[in-house]
Amino acid sequence: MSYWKHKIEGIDWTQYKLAERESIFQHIAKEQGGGFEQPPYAIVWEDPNEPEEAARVTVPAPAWWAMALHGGILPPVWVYHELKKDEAQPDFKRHTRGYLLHETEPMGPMTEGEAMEYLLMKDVPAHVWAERRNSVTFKIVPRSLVPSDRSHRDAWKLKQEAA
Amino acid sequence: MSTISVTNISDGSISVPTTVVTEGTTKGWGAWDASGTPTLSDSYNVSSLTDNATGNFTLNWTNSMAAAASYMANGGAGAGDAANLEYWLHYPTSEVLAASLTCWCVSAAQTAADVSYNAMGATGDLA
Repeated sequence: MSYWKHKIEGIDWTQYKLAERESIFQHIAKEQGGGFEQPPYAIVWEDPNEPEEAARVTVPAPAWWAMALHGGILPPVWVYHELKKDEAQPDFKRHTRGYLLHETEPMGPMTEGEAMEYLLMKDVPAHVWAERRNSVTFKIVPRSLVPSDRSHRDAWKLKQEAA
Repeated sequence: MSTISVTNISDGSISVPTTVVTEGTTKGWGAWDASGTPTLSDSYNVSSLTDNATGNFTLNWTNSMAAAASYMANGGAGAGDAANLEYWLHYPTSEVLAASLTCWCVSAAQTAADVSYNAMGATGDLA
């Protein structure tokens, strides 16, 4: 059984800042002898602003994946979008709204599909997934479909299928 | 769980502020294998790894850093294991964000490379 199907009871995660929550989560998981398995999915994506570049592959961190499926730890993804907006301001010096990460009501347990959509919206640039285009710019795929032979890594492209 | 609130920590002769501990610890790190399908083997405060191209990777932070200029990172890489870090992990400052860190794995000849052991850790301020 995958570790993340276990539930850690008796902790009010909202008492802690986000990084502290992960520290506690990992500590308890490792204390209980549980490891984190590799998440079964990856996001393969291309940046439409850099069409000559190779396709990129984003894989979730096993501990993050476990927290996403556990629930009660990660903030809603809009929090990250707010912080990205702040960082994009020309006069940005440092985050002053970090409290959004720590004080916003955390997400409940996510399904695997919800966790991958969350990760897409958190870690892949918005212009890749938010704008309608004629070409496919991203796919959420089983890890097993990502090539393990990297000899032509810089030529990887997303397959464009006929509609 | 309980919280111990202290201003200083002492061994009886030397006393340091608690902030030496809280600000001096690693705020995020990741270890990954790039010899095949990209795989994060272990991490802390990392939501995902993006494999951008040969030898080029992005660690995305779960808890964003306070700013790009508020943290620094160190890393190493090797084709064997942690004991043989014959490759460098370095990052152009233009590719450091509060939300993520993009780095290159290069050989001594400055050639980008995909190797089996990569590790990068960051110290500094969290958002």
